[in-house]
Order: sequence, then C-alpha cells, then structure tokens
Amino acid sequence: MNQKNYEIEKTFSFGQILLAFALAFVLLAITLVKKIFPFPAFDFASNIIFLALFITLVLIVQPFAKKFEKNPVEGIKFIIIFLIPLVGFSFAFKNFINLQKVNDVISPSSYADVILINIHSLIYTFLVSIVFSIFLKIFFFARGKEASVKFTVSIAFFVAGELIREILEELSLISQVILILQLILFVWISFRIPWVISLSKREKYKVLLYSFLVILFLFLLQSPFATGNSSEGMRYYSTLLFSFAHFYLHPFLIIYSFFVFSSTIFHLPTAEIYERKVAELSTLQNIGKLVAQVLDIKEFSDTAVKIAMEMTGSKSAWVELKLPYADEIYGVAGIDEINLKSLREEVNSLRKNFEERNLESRYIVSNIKDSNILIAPLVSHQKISGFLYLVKQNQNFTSDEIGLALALADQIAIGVENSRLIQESIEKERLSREFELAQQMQKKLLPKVLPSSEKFEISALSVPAFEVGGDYYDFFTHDDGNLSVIIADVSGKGISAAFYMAEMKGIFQSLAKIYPSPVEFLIKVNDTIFGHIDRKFFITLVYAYFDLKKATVELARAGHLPPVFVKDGKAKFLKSSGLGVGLVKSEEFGKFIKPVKLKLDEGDLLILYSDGVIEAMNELNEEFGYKRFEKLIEKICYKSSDEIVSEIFNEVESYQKGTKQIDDITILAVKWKK
Amino acid sequence: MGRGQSEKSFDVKVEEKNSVKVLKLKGYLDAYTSLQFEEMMRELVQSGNYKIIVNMKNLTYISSAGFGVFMAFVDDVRKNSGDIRFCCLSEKIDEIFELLGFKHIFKVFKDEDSAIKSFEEQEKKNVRKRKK
Repeated sequence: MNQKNYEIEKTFSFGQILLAFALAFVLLAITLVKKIFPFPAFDFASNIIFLALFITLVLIVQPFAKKFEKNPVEGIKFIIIFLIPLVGFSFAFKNFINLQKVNDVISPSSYADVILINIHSLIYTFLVSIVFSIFLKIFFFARGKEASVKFTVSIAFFVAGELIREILEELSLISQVILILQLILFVWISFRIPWVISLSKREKYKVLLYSFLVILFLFLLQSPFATGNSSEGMRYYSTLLFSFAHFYLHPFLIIYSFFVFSSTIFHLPTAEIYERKVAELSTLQNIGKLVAQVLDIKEFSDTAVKIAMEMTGSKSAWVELKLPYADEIYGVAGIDEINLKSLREEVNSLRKNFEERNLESRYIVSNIKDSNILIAPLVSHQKISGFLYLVKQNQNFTSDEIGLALALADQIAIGVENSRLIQESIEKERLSREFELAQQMQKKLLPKVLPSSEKFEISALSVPAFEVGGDYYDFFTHDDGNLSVIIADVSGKGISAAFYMAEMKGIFQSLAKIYPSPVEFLIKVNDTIFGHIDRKFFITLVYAYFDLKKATVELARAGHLPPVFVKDGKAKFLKSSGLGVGLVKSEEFGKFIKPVKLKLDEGDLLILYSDGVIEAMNELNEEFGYKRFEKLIEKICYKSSDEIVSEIFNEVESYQKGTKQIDDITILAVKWKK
Repeated sequence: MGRGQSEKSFDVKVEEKNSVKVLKLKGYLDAYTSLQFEEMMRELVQSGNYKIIVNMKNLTYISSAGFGVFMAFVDDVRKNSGDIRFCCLSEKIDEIFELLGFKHIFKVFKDEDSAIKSFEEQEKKNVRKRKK
C-alpha cells in the first residue's frame, strides 16, 4: 500500500470515529426520550441507529482485525483478550444498573440508569464489533466461496428471524424454533475448520486452551447470572444489540469454538507427522538452493551428508563419487578411517547389485555386524554417479527415512552433475584461450619473408588447426648463398607444442649456421634436445641443405614424413632411415640417420609437408593418403612453386570439406630453376 | 571436436598373461585420449608391472602424443628389467612406426603369443645368467 492510500484511509477512519460518536449521542438522546415517552417507534429508531453505529465500529476496527487474517491462533487469543473486559463490564454494570418492571415492560429506574445503560452498551458494542471482526477473519481463513455463502445465509436467517420475532411479538414457540434452526445453521457452517490441521503441536495445545476459554466466557455472557441487569439494559438500549449478541454472535462463536476444540483434539496425534513433513520439505528446499549455489563438490557433499544424517537419525554417513580413475570419498561424518575402510570393503559387493539390476532397485539396506547400512545411488541422466551411505546402529531405517535419503541422494546427484558441467565449461574456455594463444605464437614463429634466388623458387604455407599441432618450418641463408630448409612437427598440441616450436626455432637458427651438413645438424639437434625436454615429447623433422654452386641438395629425415622429390614429372618419396629427435641418445640416434644426396636439374621439385596433408579425412573417414598426394603432385609439378603449394592445399581442403581440420597443414616446395 | 565423439573414443583393456600385462588398445590415441592413457600407464608401472605388451590390433589412429606415452615409461620399465613391446600393428600404424623409427627403439611382434614368448625367453636367459 502506498503512502497516499494509507493517509486517505487514516482520515477516513477519523471521520468514522466522529460518525460513531455522533451516532452514540443520538442513541443516548433516543433512550432518554424513550424513558419519558415509551413509544415502539423509538425502539425501531434506536435499532436503526444501533445498526449504523455497529457497522461504523466494525469498519473502524478492520485495520486491526486484518492482522489476524492469516493467523487464526493469534486471532482466538485476541478474542479472549476482548471477551475478558466484556464479561467484566457486564458483571460490574449488572450491579450499577437499576431496572423497574411496569406492565411487563422493563425500563430503567432513573435517568442515571439510562446513561449507565448507554455507557455499558456502547462499550459492549465496541468490544463485540472487534470480536466479531476478528472472528470473521478466522472464519474465512483458508476457506473458499462456500464459507461466504454460508455466512450470508446465516446473517439473512438472523435478520429474517428478528423480523418475525418483531412482527409476531413474543411468540415463544416460534422464537424457540427459530433459535434452534439458527443453531443448526451454525453447526452446518462451522463443520469444517481447515486451519487446525496444519498447526504445530505447540500451537494445537494453545488452540485447545483458547477455544475452551472462549466457550467458557461466552457461556458466562449468555447467562443472566453473570450479566443480569446489564443485558436487560442492553435490550432497552437496542433490541437488535441484545438479539445480535445473544442469538447470533455468542451461539455462533460457542459452536465454532466447540468445533475448533474438537477438531484440534482429533488432529492432535497427527501434529508430529505434519511438523516432520514440513521440516523435510524445507530441508529439501534448502538442499535445492545449496545445489544451485555451491559448485565445489566437496563442500556440497559435506553439507548434504550432514543434513542426511540429521534427517534420518543416522550415526555415520559418507558419499562416494565415481570419478574416471578412482572412487572419491566425500563428506565422511561420524566414522573413523579404519571403520570406514572395513565397512567399505564389506559393502563393495553390495554395490554391484545396482549395476546388475539396472536402476530399478533404488536402494539397498543391509545388515552388517550390528549396524544397518543404507546405500542410495546418486542417479543423474540414467547413470549412477556415486552412492550415499547412511549407517545406523541397532536401528532400522523407516520407510520415511529411506524416502528422504533417496530424495537427498537425487539432490546430491544433481549437485555433482552441475559442478562437473561447470568445471567442464571452465576447462573448455581455458583450452580455447590457450589454443588461441598458441596459434598466435605459431604465426609469429614462422618466417615472414621467404628467401629468393635466381637458382630456385621457394613457397611455403602453414595453416594451423584450431588446436595448434606444432608444425614448424624455417629457412636459413648461409653467407655463401646456400640454403638450409627445415620442416618439423613437435609432439603434442596447444601451448606446449608452441613452446617446443619456439625452442626448435632457436636451435635451428643457431645450429644450421655452424653445422650445415644434415647428419651433423641432426645429431647436434638431438644432443640439445635429448634429456633436456620432457621424455614424452619428441620432434620429427626433415632438414635439407641446398648447395647452389654444386646444384645439389642433401637431406636427412628424423622420423618425419618422407619428402617428395620430383624429377622429370616422376614423384618419389624419400624414405631414408632416421629416428625422431629426442627419442634416444645421440650415439644411437646417429647410427640410424642415413642422408640422401641428390643432383638438381632444372624443374626438379622438392616438397616437404606435415601429416596434416596425409591424414586429412573426408566425410567417410578416409585419409587423403600418399597415393592421392603422389598423383596430385605429378599432375601439377610443372607449375610454379607458389601454384603447387596453393593447389595442394586447396585439394586437401576440399577433400576434408565438411569435416573440421584436425591438424596443422604445412606445405613447403622448392623448385630448382637452373 | 573434429571427428565425431564415437570415432574419437579410446579404450584400453588390460589382461594378464603369464605375469605379462597385455594392453588392448582400441580407437583413437590422440593428444586428448593419450592423457587418459598416460594416467593408466602410470598406475600400471607404479604398481610394479614392468612387462607390458601393447596390442594395437584395434587401434585406428595414433598421434605423436600417443607415442609420447610409451616414451615416458620405457626407461622406467627397462630399468626394472621389463619392457614395452608391441604386437598386431595394422598396416597404417606399422608405416608410422617405420617412419618414426620406433622399430629401432621398441620390439614389434606379429601376434600376441610371440610377444609373450619373447618375455618368457628373456626370463629363461636371465635365469641362466644368474646360475652362471
């Protein structure tokens, strides 16, 4: 509610209070006049004014009564709080008010009595309006339209009864019948009290006490012994007030309270179960929240296990998660390591039941030594991701506890799955950034300018795969114009590959200058690398040394794919012997290296390449292969080195169209001109 | 990534024959699956299994990282008078062994039985040596 509305309501209720006072004064005037001229017309007038006064008072107390809209227990408590002064005032005024009986008509003895009657009745009306308003809030709580229909019927019946009583005047039999019918109506209305069921045990005891007190106080108010002259005075004040209190509100409240009392007694035994269900629900809700918030499997399992133990009254518990290589234990509670180990060994065979019986068997309870152990599988996406273990000593698991354990196991499974997915996406993000970095590094390591000479033309192309494969090529032009060419592939992918590429570049640039001859160069490279890099990394390469004056090329292969040499349109793979660099000690390594020396004539072509060319796959998972490569080269070998390189690449790329390039593709061609 | 998930899968079955561990590799041993394989090999070697035969009959692809796994453990097992030996190479993988020069480093056999026998014979020689 916004401020403005609130203010309007305030001023409105101030106006109501003024109106109430005005009406009270009018009633006072009427009752005083009635003392002098006891005409029935005044009775009618006072009833009308009373009705207006009562409605006004009910409206005034609405904001207060609203507090009990969803709180029936507090509502009854406050009804008692207001009933106490009601009884008190009535009892007090009973002795102050003096009445006289003239011709069967009861009237106040003096004007002072009229004023006392007015004071008492006004207070009574005010308190009754509060009690009535609170009662209505309780009455309508958690009930639908049916209640308001019944309520309207009861009011209508009361009004009709009053009119009949008024017209037929003191026909006691009919008024008795009307009263009995009215009581039956109240029973019918009060039959269902939905809010009692959901109360806690403590609240139920409170309600029992309150409803009993309400009945007690109302009986006091009903009896002439307690109220006597004050209620008779009320009748003088306004017959409607008397009837409403004695024939409507009091009996209605008594009957309603009686039903509250009896249905509370009836539902008392279920209180504990209800409380527990509520606690279970809120626990599961909390776990649900936990699942969404906690990403660390360990932290999450710790909390979940503790909750599971509490809720099922277990002595000890733990969670076992199936990870790719081993099972991980989390959230161990209430058991030491030695006992845990022995228990785990005992249950090992039981767990197999889940695998064999599929997921149909949702849990296993087994008796080991003097303890009962409950095993609940953590199931997510139709797969068992682990188990929740709960152990009780000398106690059985109730079906409720088992149900709860299973619900918790499901929640844990979801939590585990969530955290796994998030870890995975973090890892993916990290990898993709790493690959990006590696690609940039690789780009920078490759030569930007190719050597040029009148003796040869040279072209090179390297297209890295997304997951950088570690292809590397480079040149070194010696002082005498001779040329060293290298193509290498370091094992591994990503950052580590890029790192070894960088190392390889340094080694090549420094060693090629000092050891231009292939065998010597390779042995020196192996010297540098073997024993200095991680044992599982190695490098395959082809090194070629072009002697421009002698028109020869000498090359050696260290585990790399055999270079292709084309002479007179005929391609040949140079499968000379040689081991990858970094695999074995240099003494051994040197034994296997067999260099190839070739005489170069015009148009001769040497092609170096990486495995991305040969291993390129088409949609049918067939490799590009050596045969296709050989044929292609023979077809295009007469073209320029630039064209040869780009046509090989285009051919390979169109071959693996539709599939993703999984490895770097590197092609390097040297064509002899003179 | 790249090839479909089903093609990219890799699996190892470990069998023990005459105190020799036979690893039956299946599928793709690339930069990714080799991480998993390396972990497995580490467990195997650390728990004292030094005689290892790698059956590559059902291996469809091996990358340099895959070879790296064997390099990572070959020194260890040989120090403990064991070895890693290979058998049942497909034509394609045989070619890669040849090119890389792996046949200079590792013993390669046509079938599993002869690979197991090679370990047995080595054992007999060792016994004879010790007797002498």
